[in-house]
Amino acid sequence: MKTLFLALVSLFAIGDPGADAHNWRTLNATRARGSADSLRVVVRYDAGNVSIVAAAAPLLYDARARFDATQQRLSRSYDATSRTLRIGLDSSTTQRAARHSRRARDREGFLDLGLASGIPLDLDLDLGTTRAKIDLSSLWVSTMRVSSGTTETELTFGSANPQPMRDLVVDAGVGSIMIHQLGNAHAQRTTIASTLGDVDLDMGGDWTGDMPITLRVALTSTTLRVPRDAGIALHLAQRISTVDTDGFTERDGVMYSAGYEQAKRHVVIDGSATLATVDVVWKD
Amino acid sequence: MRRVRRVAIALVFGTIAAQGAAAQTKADSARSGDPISATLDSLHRDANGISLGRAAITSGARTVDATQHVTGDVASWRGPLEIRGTVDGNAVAVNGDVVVLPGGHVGGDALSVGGVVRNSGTIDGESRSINAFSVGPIAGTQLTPAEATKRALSLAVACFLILVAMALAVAMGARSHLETIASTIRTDFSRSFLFGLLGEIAIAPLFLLSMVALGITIVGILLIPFAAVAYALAILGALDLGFLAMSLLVGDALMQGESHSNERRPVVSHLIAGLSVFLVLTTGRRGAAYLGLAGSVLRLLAFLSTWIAATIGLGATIITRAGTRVATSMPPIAAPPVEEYAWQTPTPVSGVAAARRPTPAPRPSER
Repeated sequence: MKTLFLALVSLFAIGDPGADAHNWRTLNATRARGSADSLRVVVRYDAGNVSIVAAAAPLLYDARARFDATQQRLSRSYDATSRTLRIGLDSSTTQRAARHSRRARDREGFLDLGLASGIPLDLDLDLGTTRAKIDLSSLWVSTMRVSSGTTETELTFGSANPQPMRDLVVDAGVGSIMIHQLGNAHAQRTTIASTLGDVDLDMGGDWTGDMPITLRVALTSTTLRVPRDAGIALHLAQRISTVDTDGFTERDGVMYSAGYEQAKRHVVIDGSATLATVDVVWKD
Repeated sequence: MRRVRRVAIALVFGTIAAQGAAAQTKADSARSGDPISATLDSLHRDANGISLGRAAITSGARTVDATQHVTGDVASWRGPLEIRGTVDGNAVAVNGDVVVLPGGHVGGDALSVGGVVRNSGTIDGESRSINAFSVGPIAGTQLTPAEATKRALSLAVACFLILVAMALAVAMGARSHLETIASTIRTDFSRSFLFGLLGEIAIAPLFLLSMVALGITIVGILLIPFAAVAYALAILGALDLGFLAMSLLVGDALMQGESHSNERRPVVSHLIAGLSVFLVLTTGRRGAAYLGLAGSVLRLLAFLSTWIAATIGLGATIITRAGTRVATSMPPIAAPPVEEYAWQTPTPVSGVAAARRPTPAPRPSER
């Protein structure tokens, strides 16, 4: 009986050697910018690594992808009339084989997307279980929406946006959001939402005036990195949350940092924090 | 007559055997017949491909000269495609590079499958390369029989190990309950099956009823998620307990270890032995898949055996309220045998106070 039991356990431990079989495909797609004066980019990518950077001139876009054709479908299309590039990766994760090999696929599959600089970009990114590294330095982003399920999203605005961004929305389900030099985005409205994870917002960059941000966090550890010469006003509906407001003064339910009135630029944050911590870190 | 019968049987089995391969054969028919047509078909179906007409593609290397002006698409199969002139449509190379030389112009897309696109001219559309096609039902998910068997085996063994873990827990913590259920199955087999069947039928309606009942009050609405989980756990628990009791009986029969009901037999070993029988049935179901019609019958039998065992176990669990009470219709446990005239044996020297003839238990009507 013992031998039989051990044999069965061993059999189970050996598992299925065919489960990790992959069928990798690569795609390289580029398009010359031509007369295109704007670009809308819609990305639906549900598993793997995503990176977005500026493409080399004179390209409108430069997409490179690797995916497992055993369980995934990558499709792309470009509509010249609406100037819309759509890239979608669909994973059949309901299949047993897909579940078995998902970890490897997530690690090795990728989409590297280069986008034209010098034309306004409208970015709509829907990311599933991904690691996304989006470097928007030297790009002109007019609107941006990032929605993600379980992800690590790193967003960098390395240089000032040529024109103010109309809207920046980052809506993360579970995972971490890290935004570098958010001030360079010149966003007229920024919304950051996170349900579970970490949010790290660096307000650095070349900006003046007010930076309005709506922050909705729950079960999240949030760090706000604010330039020392800026003032910050916090108007957060707190529900069982801890908001670090040392040195702040309260007026009409809004917490103002010391010297807020004298500061030449202001970060104005409203929204809510539920079962969350919000820390303010001053940076030189 | 015999020959006709033989041919008919061969046809039936041939049809069954061919059935599985039919879909694959259908998909591959074009491929085996005309590889270029198959390539065009793949190009059409691939999300990153292009639809081309048969006239556009030629076998081997192909060059569009500087003086040439192609109004439609141009494609090469198993060879590079060189563009020095003008192509109004798409330029495609399958198993080759697309090379657009200075002065060359492609009005549509340039696509290379299994190669690269090198552009020194002008491409109005997209320049694209893919290393291979990815078409049809997601490639690779059609498991080979060996892979499918390994998977099924893995799954069966995983279930078996989980059940063994549960069996250990039950044997240690609720042995008496398990014995009661097993005893009920033994003595009240048909009633257990009936109750099990009724229980299975009632699972969904009872769930709905209880949810509706909870939904009447506000407090009840709040309790619905908890009640749903509790209900599911209760059903699973009852099924598991019943199935384990059934496995114990099968194990008893297999190990021939139950000569007396109250004997402290090795329950765990018997449980594992019983569960192993069901494991063999489950894996046998998978193996029977290769036996055609006979395999189907065997699979049905294996499924029925497991289902009947689970149903009877569930029924006995219901009857005994999870082994907490002995079934009312069970006959009382027989008293140890007493010799008829034992009361008349000579009194030992050490003496006894009295000896009395044992009297039978009063009948219910005499109570």
